[in-house]
Amino acid sequence: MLIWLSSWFVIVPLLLCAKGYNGLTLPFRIIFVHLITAFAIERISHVMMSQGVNNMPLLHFYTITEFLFISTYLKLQIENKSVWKTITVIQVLFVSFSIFNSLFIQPIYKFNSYARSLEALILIMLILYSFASEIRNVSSKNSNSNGITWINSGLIIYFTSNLFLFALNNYYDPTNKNVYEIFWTVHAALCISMYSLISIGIWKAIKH
Amino acid sequence: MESNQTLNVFYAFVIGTLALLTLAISVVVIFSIYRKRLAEQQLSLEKKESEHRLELLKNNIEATEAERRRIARDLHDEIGSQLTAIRMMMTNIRNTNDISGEVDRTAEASKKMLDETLQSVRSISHNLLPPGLEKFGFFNTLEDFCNHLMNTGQISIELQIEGEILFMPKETELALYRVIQELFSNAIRHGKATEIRLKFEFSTSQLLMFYHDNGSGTDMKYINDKKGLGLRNMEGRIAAINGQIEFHSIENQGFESKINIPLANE
Repeated sequence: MLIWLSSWFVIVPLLLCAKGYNGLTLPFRIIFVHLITAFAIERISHVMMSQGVNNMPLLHFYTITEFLFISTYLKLQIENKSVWKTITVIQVLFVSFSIFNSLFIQPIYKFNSYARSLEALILIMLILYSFASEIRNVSSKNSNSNGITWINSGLIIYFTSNLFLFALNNYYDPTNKNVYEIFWTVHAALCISMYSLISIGIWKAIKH
Repeated sequence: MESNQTLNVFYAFVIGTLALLTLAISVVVIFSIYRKRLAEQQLSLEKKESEHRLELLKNNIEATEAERRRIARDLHDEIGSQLTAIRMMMTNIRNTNDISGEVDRTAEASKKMLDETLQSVRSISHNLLPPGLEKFGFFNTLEDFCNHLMNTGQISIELQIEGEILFMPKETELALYRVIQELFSNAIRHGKATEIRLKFEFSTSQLLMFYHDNGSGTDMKYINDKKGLGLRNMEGRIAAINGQIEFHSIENQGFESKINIPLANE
């Protein structure tokens, strides 16, 4: 039930973005595009699963798009332009590693735990950096938590908590359905909490 | 064997996920609290700075008014009385016998010039220090000022007061009077206005003043982007008495201003 709900929950922030698109700044618009991609891939993977087709290649592709969208969204929050260059280099290196991983280390029909874990680690670092940068630039005008803070909170909670799930995914016995259910139910709960926090962030941005 | 490994992975997953989830939530909560505290400190600092700026502004206005009073007094008491004495001497010159009448004519012309100078000195002195503000009150002085301007035949002024007139502190009266002087001066000098409407609305806790003229007005972009000294002075004077002033204008369609001044109930 929770897994099913999480696959549809992305619609909430997606509709909010669509409703207030004109009032959204560039970082929020990037999140909007990311949500569209996430929703589309989620739907396609469900169709593939129902047809009995392995949908893991989609996850390999999604890992790259998710990383690019979220890291670009985080990059836009940082004022220091020299950090931008570093992030761009990290993006290029990560995409190269992911492709290499999919081709030579973890084939596209297996879970890409290395790329997923590395993605989560890099994004956690970037979110922490963005938090620190926000603290440096805090002003009385944005004393109330703004939309960006909510979205960043959702992302850091999701990626940090899922680190073990991503890292350990290839180590459990796939025939054990109970463990499988628990793993992905926890993931679904974290997904819902992330999309809820993203929705609050977008709602605050639209209201602002 | 396989079952043991699955169990280990499962425990690692549960413990690890819970630990990281707690860590992530703690980071978010600590960040939010710290950020909020910083913003509050910033707000308090900005408030203090704003209060300090307002205090400086008030002191500046007080110093300007004191200087104006001193110049007005000097003009009236010294220059004015000296000019009156010269005028009397001129009258005496006219009374001496003068066959050609040349001295008489020169004296008459000089007396006329002196009269004009005396009038100018009085007018400057009155502008510097509104003479009736303390003696006769704000609205009588304002009415006097309006009549004086209307007597020039160049402008008509409609003055309207709604509600019961409430007590206004001296600094409020003076600030309001100065702002009205500036608005009128702008309307006549720059806007070439021929009609001015001035409306005062008293309520229990505030005074609202609406100003409108039919002059050439100005571009709102100019008002918003690069305010002239006059507009900035008006803003400063109203801010110093904790009031708010707004300007609105459309080119060739006149100029409007709205002033809101909180009044203490006495």
